[in-house]
Amino acid sequence: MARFDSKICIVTGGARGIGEKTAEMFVEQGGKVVIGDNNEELGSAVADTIGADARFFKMDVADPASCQAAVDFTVSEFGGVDYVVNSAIAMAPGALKDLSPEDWNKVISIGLTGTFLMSQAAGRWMIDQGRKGSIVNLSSIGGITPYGMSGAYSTVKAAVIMLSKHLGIEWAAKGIRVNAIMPGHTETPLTSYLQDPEIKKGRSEVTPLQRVGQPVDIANAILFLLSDEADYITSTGLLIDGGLAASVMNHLPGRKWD
Amino acid sequence: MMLKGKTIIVTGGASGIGRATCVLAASEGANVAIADINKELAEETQGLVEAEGAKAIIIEMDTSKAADAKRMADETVKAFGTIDGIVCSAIKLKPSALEDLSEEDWDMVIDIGLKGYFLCAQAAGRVMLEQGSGSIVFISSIGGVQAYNGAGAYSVAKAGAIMLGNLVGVEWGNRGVRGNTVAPGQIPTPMTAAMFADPEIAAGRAAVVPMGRVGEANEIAEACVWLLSDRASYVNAATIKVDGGQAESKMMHTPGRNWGGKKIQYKAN
Repeated sequence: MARFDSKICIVTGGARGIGEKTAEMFVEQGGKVVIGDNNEELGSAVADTIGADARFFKMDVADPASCQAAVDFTVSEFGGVDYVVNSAIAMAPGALKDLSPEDWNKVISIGLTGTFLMSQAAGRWMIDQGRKGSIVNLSSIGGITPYGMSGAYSTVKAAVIMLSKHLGIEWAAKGIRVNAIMPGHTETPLTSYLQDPEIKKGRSEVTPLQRVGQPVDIANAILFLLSDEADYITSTGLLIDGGLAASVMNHLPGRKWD
Repeated sequence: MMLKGKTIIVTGGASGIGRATCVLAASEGANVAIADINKELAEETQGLVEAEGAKAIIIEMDTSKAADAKRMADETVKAFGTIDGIVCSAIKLKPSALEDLSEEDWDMVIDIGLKGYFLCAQAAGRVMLEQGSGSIVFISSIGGVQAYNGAGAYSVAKAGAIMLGNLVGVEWGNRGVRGNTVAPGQIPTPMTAAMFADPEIAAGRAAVVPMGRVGEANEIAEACVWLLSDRASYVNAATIKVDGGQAESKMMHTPGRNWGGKKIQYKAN
């Protein structure tokens, strides 16, 4: 029996990057997936490539009706919802001094409110049905250490950790586990700046494992937390950053113990 | 199989979480070195590992002794050719109020639970560094992130284990050796059997966990095996809590707080 036989997952932001890889691997391992994304062209192409066990659903995670519709669609297509991966995010980088309220709101509404609304819509269905579930929310290393010039991104990602813990303790007794993951530098369309060899080299060198992450690295952790292997794991966050967050003292110029 | 052909050492592998890790690693294809001071129980684990169709050796040792740690690495390499991973779980618990804690008991817990982790990770790590790959997993505890009152030096050793895991990851990550920590919540094992035998304590401990139950040794083993495997190839200097949400449940246990319009039902001993 495959790891995710008869399991059904919604992946928001599934049209690209980490969400796309997660959707692909989830189906490879026996599950059925609904890719929720606002990019119809990319999202439906991903679903087509994955095959018969994938559907695309065009949605806006910041709209509660759209999140509810995603749940309804998933239930009608596949018969239920077991898992949610919230990976949808928008970026609006900029210095805080210059950041517009529009850019602030955009990142908060998609990255944070969207994570809440999608979790709530799916969680309500699971609770009503008395069905166990698991939700994984994409935070970031930027959620535990401020990511300068990223606009509202770090604030959103920090809040996603707390939202995950909070959902986790409120829903634990109902059999729904909720966790956050914190990727480090990961090569995705969102981080296209990593295509610049100089940036990629620099970012690899500051990471103890000496490389940036790939979507498969992050998808592996997401699938672990979704699965029954993680049956006693809830309300926590997991770093997948090659050791970057722990390496601050590696980067102090002039210090040299050896 | 996640650990096919890999050689894994488990200190404290004779019982409890260590034993569960040995058996699960074996079922995922690993050769297992069971490192423990208790030979008799280690032989039981060996039987369980062999029942999974895997090979196991026993290293009878005191993890707090450098010479034993070196022998552990040597015997494992001799038996299986190399070392691909180690899970350090050997610990001895000596509960006491701090004001009464003796120097001997402090030293005993720190020697096994912290120095022993270092010595065994170092001895196995030297082989992995030579090989250019490996994964080191330390068993910490919820007591490593929350002060565990009455547990003597236990919490301090477990907090130290988290930092040691991070340090291993930061110093050795660029040479292919990952270091991580697993922090279990309340898990009935031989170490905690006497406590959980009291039904009132068992019920109280389950009630304070958001998931409403204590965990199982096998659930910790799952996290260990995942961290040992290549599926966690970018996870380094990280900690996974496997505690049913307990470490985040502080605000559930604050008497008199009442956001939801009803009294919090909190039953503890």
